[in-house]
Amino acid sequence: METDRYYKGLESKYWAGETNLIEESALEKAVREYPEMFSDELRSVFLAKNTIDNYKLSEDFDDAFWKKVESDSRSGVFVFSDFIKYAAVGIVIFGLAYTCTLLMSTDQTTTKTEISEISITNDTYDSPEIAFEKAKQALIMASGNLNKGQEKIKEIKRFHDAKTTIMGASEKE
Amino acid sequence: MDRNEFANKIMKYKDNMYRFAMSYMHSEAEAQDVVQDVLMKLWETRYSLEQKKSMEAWCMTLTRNKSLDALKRAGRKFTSSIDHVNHNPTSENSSPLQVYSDKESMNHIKSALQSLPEKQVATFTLRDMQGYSYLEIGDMLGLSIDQVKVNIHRARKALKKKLSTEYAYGNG
Repeated sequence: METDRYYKGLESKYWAGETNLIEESALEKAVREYPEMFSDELRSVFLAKNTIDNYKLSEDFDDAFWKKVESDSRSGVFVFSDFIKYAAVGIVIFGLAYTCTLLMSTDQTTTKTEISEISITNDTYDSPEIAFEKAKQALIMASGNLNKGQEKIKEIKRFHDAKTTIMGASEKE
Repeated sequence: MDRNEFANKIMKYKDNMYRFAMSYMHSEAEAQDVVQDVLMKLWETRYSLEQKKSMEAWCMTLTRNKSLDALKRAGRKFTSSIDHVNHNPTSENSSPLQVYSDKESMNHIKSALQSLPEKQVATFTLRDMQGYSYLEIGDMLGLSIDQVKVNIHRARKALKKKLSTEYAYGNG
């Protein structure tokens, strides 16, 4: 009776996923010895385990495997695959080095060009008055755009205020 | 690693790999091909295998990946195939009734497992059919111990529910 209760408890623990390997092993042994004590479901599980324990590779598997290894090595598959691996690494390194060299030389050329451009554009206007006028125009243009932006923000703010007022009024109601 | 060392350190897991591959593939030959492919890969990379923490876990990881690749290549989806092979687990002394009953039980398990997600079947197979610990299963499937526990719990719960329904239907 006590044993019966113990194994029933163990089976419940098993289905709840709370058993450890030792308990599961004890359960398996008990199912084999006293199948009538357990549910059909548990018996099925351990029967499946018993079946799977018998799955084994055929005896000639090892021979077939080593024959395949030998035939592959004779046909040069491994040597070729190794060669491909090293060649790929070599190409990647070469590519990276080439790209770096190209980038560095491009950078140097760009810097030189920029310096020469600056030196050319440094004195665009000879007269300070004209330069002042041009700078003023540019600033006016920029501030005009800024004002337009500010107007839009003001409109949004007005809209937001109106919305808040309306919502406040409706809440009071 | 020479041939002898490879045989001693790796080939000893071949039956476990085969059993695991059997839970994915639909035939003995396909499962055998998976194991052979995995062993070939291990042989090719034998010089870097020393760095692996657990050789068995690595073998099983590769077996799972190779099986899923093979299913994908064949344009098939994962369905557990725990009993697709005509192995005869019952002893020669078993009565015809016993053989029939065993076959029925296996059919119930098969049909119940078919509807479970791959991870649940994998964790269930590794734990309940092959007796690995949570830690080992975690290493094999790239899961934390908690995730393994959750998957096993869900698999058993779903399996019990499905088996109960099948038995109730069968008896009714």
